[in-house]
Amino acid sequence: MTLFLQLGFQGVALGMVYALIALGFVIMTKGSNTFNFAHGEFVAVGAYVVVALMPHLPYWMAFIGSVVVTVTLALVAERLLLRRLVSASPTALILATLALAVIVHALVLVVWGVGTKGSAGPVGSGTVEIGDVVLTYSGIATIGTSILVLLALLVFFRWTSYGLALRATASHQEAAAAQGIDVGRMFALSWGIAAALAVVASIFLASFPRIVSPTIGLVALAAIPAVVIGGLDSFVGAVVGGLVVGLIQVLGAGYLTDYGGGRLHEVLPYVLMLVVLVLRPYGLFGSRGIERV
Amino acid sequence: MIRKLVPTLAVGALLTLSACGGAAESSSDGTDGVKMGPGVTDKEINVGLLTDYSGPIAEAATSGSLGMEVKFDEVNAAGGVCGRKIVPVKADTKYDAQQTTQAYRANAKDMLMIGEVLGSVSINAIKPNVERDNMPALAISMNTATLEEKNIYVPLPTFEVELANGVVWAAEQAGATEEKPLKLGVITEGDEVGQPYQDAVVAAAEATPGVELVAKPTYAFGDQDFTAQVSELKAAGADVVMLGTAPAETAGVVGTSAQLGYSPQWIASSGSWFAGLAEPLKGLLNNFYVSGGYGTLADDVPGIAALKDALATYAPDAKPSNFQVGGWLFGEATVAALKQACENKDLTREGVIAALEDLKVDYQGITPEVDLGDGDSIVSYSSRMNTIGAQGELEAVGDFYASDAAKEWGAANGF
Repeated sequence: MTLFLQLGFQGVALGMVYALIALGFVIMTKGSNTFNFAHGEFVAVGAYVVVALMPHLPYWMAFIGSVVVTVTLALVAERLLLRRLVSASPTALILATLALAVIVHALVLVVWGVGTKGSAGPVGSGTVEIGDVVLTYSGIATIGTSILVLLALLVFFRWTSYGLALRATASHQEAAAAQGIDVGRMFALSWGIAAALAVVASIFLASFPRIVSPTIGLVALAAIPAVVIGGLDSFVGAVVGGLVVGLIQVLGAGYLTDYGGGRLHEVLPYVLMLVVLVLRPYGLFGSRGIERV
Repeated sequence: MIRKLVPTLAVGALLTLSACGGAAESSSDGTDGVKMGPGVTDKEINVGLLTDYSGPIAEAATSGSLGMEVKFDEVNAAGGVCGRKIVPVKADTKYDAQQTTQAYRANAKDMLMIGEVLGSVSINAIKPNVERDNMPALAISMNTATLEEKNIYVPLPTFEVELANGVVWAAEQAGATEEKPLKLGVITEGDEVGQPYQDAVVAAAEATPGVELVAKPTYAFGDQDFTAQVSELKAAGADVVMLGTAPAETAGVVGTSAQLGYSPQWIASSGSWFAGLAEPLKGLLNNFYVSGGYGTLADDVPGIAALKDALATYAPDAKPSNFQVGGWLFGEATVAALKQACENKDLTREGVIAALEDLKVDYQGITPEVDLGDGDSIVSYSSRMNTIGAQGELEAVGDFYASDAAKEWGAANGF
């Protein structure tokens, strides 16, 4: 039982990281109708900037600095790329974000090199024990911060004018524009929020004992099954999907190693993703699309 | 009709050209009477460096590549080999099978040999091409699975040797006996890369009196959490854990162990450690050892002195890394093969392969001399234990030794 609880805690902590990344995907998809494959590289930029600033600034300032840099990068990309492709086909948009991912990854390598860096987390390696279960500071911080971020997003989308405008744009761009909403600004807002979430996710994805390395952007893409499982347009779905993926990975590493060459926990999130795509293509919590013909 | 025909023919021609890339070896005689193969002129010898310059293990790989390049610079400054300069043909594999195949195809026709190809993933991707093209290749996959591949040579002790010797060293240090056994664990990647490491540790544990193997958890490449594996080792009570991991996973395993209040003695193969880990693992390395098949930058031997001179001259801004030592040794082996081929007046691929046969390479004290034999054998069973210095550098704690357990495991597996 202790092992189950220990793995469960770590699984929830890792799942919350995936949930934060998945939320970024969802916000961009809802706000700008774009599934941004470069989002993983925004996570990488966030982590690298935090690590670069940490030796020179208090941690909270390093974090803010990283948010400023990453959001600026996202806004530039949105303005130069997405805004010009607004009437392009979904395929063209996806290909454009894939190209953007390659460019941002190369940029990371040019600026910070190919080497690994330290951890980017806000807390160290400390732990507290409850019974026989060890709760790591990084795990507690991940779960606590994620819950706060989710509540903040809830407040933003439910009770602020910008949040309502963003939801209106996501629901129907032409109708939103007819109501005087600046749709272009809403696109930028969605990319900006997603980039800020990427930085929050990055500091927990690279929390002790994990370290910042050039592959962190690829690691972040492990959140894609979470997005698909939960539903491309559902905040609740992103959280549930993230938790499902995190728990499968960590619990599976503990209980499924005797099956499938010890790699079942790696494959299962994708199997689940395919099952959901086949049975419920819009995800467990997503909205079923209705198209008038 | 013509609009469709022209692109079709163009694509067809391109595909045909790529399929033929590097397939045939042509040769000619140089002005000095030396037979010359692909990538050789009267002035230059092209040697391929197919390694990970921007992928997941690029940090170690670029350091290794640099060590090799400064070896070539040193040799070139002294006149080269056969009066020809060695020119590194660098190609980024990103530690990815598809990228490696593309890198090989793009460069094969211009290379006499491959001085380094890094990692099982890359080697497996190009081994049919290497066999077909008769391309001699030195593999930085110090894994015995590589040894049996045709035309592929591993000029240093394998990681399995390092781990097996590490098991014996740990048992001796602990004074392990049947009455007071040493409980041993091992963690490796759960695939064809990690399996030989686990096999070697299991065999060494069985061959060493007083060692009891109690846990052998595995992980999948890309795993972000090691709680399950560490919990298994902790529950089994392993006093010593052998690490057949990549450096990022070493950080994850050691860090998670500390958080779970588990602090065994760690013994890693040289491929599991990188100096950059010293910072994130600060305070957790007091009982961490690396079993290395070659020496360190701190050694006072002629080979290391030459490497340091070359680094100071040709790469003065490079951060010190022990992978530079590994790269330098691969450079030594490459140069030795080219010199032998030159002596035989045959700088073709067949000539290099003949030169590699039974080639003895003197590493100038960095590690004992090796004999490449038939290319299918472990070239040396010697390794040395190291601790970790303040900056993550390796510091030797003994001399090179070759354990009977490692030799027996090698013999039992036909190496």
